[in-house]
Amino acid sequence: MAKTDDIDGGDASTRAAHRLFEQWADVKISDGVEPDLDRLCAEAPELRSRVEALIRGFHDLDQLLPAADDGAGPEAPEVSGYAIGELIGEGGMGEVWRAEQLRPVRRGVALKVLKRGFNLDRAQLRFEFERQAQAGLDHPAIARIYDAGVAEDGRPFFSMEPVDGLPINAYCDRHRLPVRRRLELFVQVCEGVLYAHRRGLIHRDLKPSNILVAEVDGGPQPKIIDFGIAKVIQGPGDSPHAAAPQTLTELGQLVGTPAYMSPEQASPLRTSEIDTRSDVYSLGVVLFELLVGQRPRAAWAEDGDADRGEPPTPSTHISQLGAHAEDIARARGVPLPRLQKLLRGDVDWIVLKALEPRRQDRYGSPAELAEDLRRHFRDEPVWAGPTGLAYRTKKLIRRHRTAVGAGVLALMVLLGTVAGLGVGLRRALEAEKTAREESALAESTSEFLVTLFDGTDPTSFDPSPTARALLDRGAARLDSDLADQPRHRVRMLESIGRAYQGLGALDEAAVLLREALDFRRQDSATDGPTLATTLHRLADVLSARGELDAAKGLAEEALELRLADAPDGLSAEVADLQQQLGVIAERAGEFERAEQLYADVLTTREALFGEKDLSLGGTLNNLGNMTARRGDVEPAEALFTRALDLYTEHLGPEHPHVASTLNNLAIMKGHHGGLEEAVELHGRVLEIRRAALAPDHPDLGETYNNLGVALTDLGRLDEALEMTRESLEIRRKVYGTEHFLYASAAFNLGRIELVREALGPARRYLTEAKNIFERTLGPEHAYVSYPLQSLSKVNRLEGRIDIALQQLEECVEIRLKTLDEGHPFVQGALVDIEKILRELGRAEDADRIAARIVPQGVEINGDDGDEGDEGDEGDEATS
Amino acid sequence: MGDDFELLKSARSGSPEALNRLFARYGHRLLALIRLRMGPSLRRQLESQDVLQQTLLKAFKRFDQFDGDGETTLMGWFGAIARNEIRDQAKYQHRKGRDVDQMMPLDAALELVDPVRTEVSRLQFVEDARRLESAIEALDEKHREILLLRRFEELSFPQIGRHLDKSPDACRMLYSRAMTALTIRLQRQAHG
Repeated sequence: MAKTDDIDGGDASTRAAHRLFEQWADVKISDGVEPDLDRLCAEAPELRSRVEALIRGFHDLDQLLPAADDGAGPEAPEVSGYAIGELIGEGGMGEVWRAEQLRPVRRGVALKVLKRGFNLDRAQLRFEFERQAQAGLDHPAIARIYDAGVAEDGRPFFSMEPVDGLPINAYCDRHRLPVRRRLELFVQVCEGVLYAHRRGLIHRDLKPSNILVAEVDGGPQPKIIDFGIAKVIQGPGDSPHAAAPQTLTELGQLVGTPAYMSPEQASPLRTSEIDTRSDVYSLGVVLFELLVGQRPRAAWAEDGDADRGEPPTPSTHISQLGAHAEDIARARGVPLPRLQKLLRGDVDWIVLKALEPRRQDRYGSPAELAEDLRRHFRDEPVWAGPTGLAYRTKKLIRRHRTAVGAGVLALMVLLGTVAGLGVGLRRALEAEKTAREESALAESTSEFLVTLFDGTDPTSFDPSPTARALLDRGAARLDSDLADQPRHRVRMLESIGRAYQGLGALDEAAVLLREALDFRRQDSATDGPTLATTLHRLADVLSARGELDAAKGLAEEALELRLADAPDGLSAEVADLQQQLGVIAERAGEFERAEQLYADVLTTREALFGEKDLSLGGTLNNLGNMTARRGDVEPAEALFTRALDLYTEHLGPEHPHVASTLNNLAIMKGHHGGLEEAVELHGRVLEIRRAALAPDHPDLGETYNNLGVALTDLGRLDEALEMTRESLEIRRKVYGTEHFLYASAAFNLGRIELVREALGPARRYLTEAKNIFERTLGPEHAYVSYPLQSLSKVNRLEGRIDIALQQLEECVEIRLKTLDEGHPFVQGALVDIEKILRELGRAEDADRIAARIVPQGVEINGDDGDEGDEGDEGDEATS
Repeated sequence: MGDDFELLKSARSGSPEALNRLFARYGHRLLALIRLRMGPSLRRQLESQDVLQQTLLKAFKRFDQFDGDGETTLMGWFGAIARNEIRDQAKYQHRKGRDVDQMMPLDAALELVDPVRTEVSRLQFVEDARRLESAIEALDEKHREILLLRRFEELSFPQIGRHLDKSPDACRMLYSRAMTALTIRLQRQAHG
């Protein structure tokens, strides 16, 4: 088929955009569905906006032209032995027709046929259809396949039991099924999937539209459709004969709904890893959606916190939905707080375990998933839950509900009514015929509390004043109620400390964790790993508070303890601690050390998790920043590109982590002359972040700031001023004014004002920045030197030469602590000093300085020290 | 579809209201089709409104031939009649050697389409229609033809396939390429 003539005009990129658009239109017209633009433009993202413009043009044209409202739909296939009725469904690749099978038995069927225009290996597809038909799956939760073959026009088809039902999520919402009923229905689905697994069939495309719910005998009956069909389509993994998709667009069409796919399915390199646990993952997504009305990936992206490579729990997710959450609760027949309570704990854990990114961490089969849900129904401890005694005790209480509910119990404990709890517990324990000593009971009590506070992670704690008040009260009771149970008290200290950290109350967290650490150090029963964990946590908090020396000491101690257990250094904990130490070193301005540490982390994590693991992303970024800092542009770019590929593959091109990496890349480009490119990249970062984050999210502050820096260097001062002001405002809101990031924005504003020769405002901003840097980072931190150098310029322009000179000398002194004398930043300041000395007629002093200046080819560029843009990746502080 | 069939029936039996509605429903599209089929040169010789009138008249006369529940739509039927009418009139014109250049393009019928359209949007609409018309006329012959068959005569791809002696899939592809070419062309026009 001849290509469109009109494409031939224009330059190469225009032609390329036209070709992509042509592919888009071919799919749209042949198959009636719009191809996924991300995939279509995956190899040429820079063309995306142009392709989008063409698509808009296409839609406009479509509107303008008279509608083709004839049989625009598909034509009925002719199939021997069947009378075809009307079209009842249409998907990306298939059409479903109502039909009557005429022989060997006469019965109503749904006939599913491949859409025309698909360049699939039809023989392979037909083979697969027939395999399904012969498998003879006979289970109430699976729609039966009767027959398979090819239609007269060569398209493969199969006929199946007609299912008059709705997708499972739509069914549940329409009937406002409560959580429990949804879970029960879901267990039936698991049983169907399990049944097929036992016959060697993996579904590979489980999603609500493939899990229909029909009313059978007045009750809901799930019917899974399309077992194994996705296999042929997803190709090449274990069916080498399946046709590889012809084009990118086709690929976009074929691989189904990425939101339901497990990581191993989503990665083209890992298809050989697909097994029954891939279905478990998809079931997890479906379950998540049944519970909170949205898929986890969407929730995950909005959350902006995927550092652990996990989605938030359903209960966390729902608490972040705002007004919409009420509707979701209503569709489940309960008020919102009740819904949250129903999800928190067991259900959260079960969903997360099904959604584990690594398949070995998931449930081994749908049977285990279903069984865990049943255990939850029976109030037995679930496998997905914590193993601690506390949790089991909590379950015990739940099963033998005494006069008080568990929630009330928690409050009672916090308010000091431990005696009441003791009675309740004792009764429960007796009922279970588990004779326990008083001490065991006490242990249960504190473990129980630990569980209540722990949840699944500290950030899941509701940051409302109530939560804070509850924590404060809990902390206050530590001394009175648990004074005689020091080991239990220390666990409480750690839990409440972590909860404080999650709320951002770092001071309180530090106090409690320090106390816990003191105890652990003296306690003979504390083993190495336990002590290391406490050390690590406190180091986290101190590092976040800027107490770098203390944090470093603790982390190093923890590292030593961990190395005792893993002398070869090959352990995840060792890598986590090295990462933490790297971040601390970087913050302290010890860049060489930081680089070495990051390199070690990278090696360790690669060895442990492989080269494609998501956990490498943060390290690649940090290492990239350090490499870029030394001016090693190409290796740095390679590191950033690797991180970009990794994130795009795992998380998609619009993920905030992609933005963070682009940000780092942009900063590097900006520092090495690629200012236009830097502005463009920052613009892209802004686009992603604006779409994904709240308007006053700190990352947006970062982007505005960095865009401001690049624009300043380009001389686009008005835009720069506007961006930097945005940044300052966000940071004021987020961090307050006593924070080095606020000071960075203030410094950059001062710099712009200086270039604009508005000396008054410049002095104000620069002074403010310098003072804050000194107070928050210490007077000798490298950051202090930047406003110093700019202030010296202000003073020179205003004729205060002596002060200017003194500031420059201070500046050099500070820089020499972290940089060589040959570094452009140092040299730049030296050049300025020499100039001033000559102006002042101090020739001898000037000569001495001149001797330190490296003569040729040095680019004197340290003038305005364009630092203050921070390129750190968000996930530095390991947890 | 059945609705149109009824409309055509009552129009033929003399209901002026049905005729009006039919004209409102199809006049614009049919006129656009006729203008495009004639092209700029023929448009200088024939009056598209005449062709439209004749087409509708013949359609009413041959009403019995229209297979209301077959696969051809009313528009497809009108389109086929218009094609013949243009051919006949062009032949006649040729024989008559009638003087050219006396015609003006007539878009009056556009106003029938949507009586509630405001003046501004009507002008915009006419503007869009002209722009579209010239872009379609500039298309490659085979692209223009498939676009007319598909969008103006509302033929299905198998019908087009029979008409052009191609497979339905090949027609789909050709149509896709025609839409692509037209979109690009319109975009180029818009950006100068």
